[in-house]
Amino acid sequence: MKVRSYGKLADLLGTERDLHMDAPCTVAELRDRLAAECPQAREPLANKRVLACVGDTIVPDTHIVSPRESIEFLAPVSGG
Amino acid sequence: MTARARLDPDPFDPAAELAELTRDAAGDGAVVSFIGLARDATKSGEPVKTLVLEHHPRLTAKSLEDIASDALERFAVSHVRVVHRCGDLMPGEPIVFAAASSPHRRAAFEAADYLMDRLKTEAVFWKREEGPSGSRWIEPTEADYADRGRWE
Repeated sequence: MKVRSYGKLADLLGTERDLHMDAPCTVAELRDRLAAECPQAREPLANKRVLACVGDTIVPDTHIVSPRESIEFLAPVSGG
Repeated sequence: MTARARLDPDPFDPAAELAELTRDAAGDGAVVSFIGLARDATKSGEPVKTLVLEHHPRLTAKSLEDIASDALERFAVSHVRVVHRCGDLMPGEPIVFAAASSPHRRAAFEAADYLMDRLKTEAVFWKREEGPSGSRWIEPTEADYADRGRWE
């Protein structure tokens, strides 16, 4: 599946990466998979202010993602 | 009643935004506006050459629209206007214009305050200061999140 990252996370994970998945899994499991691939991103990925987005919707850690979907991880946002 | 929000990749003129809002506000008794500017130094005093505001292709504009609409719904205001830059900003350039008009001043003050507290913590941007010593991501502080929490 395609994983896109934004902000500080993109520095650690790359803007876009492919993650091999055989079966659907939760967003929480995806965070763990990415942290295992990129240990330097483990701490930011564990931050609850790092949001996961599927389509145009922010999804909770319990959301199940299929291998055919794309997911985006957003580092903490800040405007103004 | 209008809630307008615009994501702008180019420098904008806050005075022109205020003039337009003031025209829209005919009949109201108050206009309150806030302009956020790109700083020329980091918190630790190092010079900033560029403030980079990265945005999301779909979520950023929607976050601005949602925040503006929520302010219009929540307070006794007639018009709400938000303009937010994205891209590379030079020190001194306006980052954000947030304003509201209302029949009586208190609602406009509160709406402007609310707009900024939500923009600081919920508008979908990633800010990076670039200077001679490298680049640094800027995230909301605990004080910013606490300010946002005042409205819950």
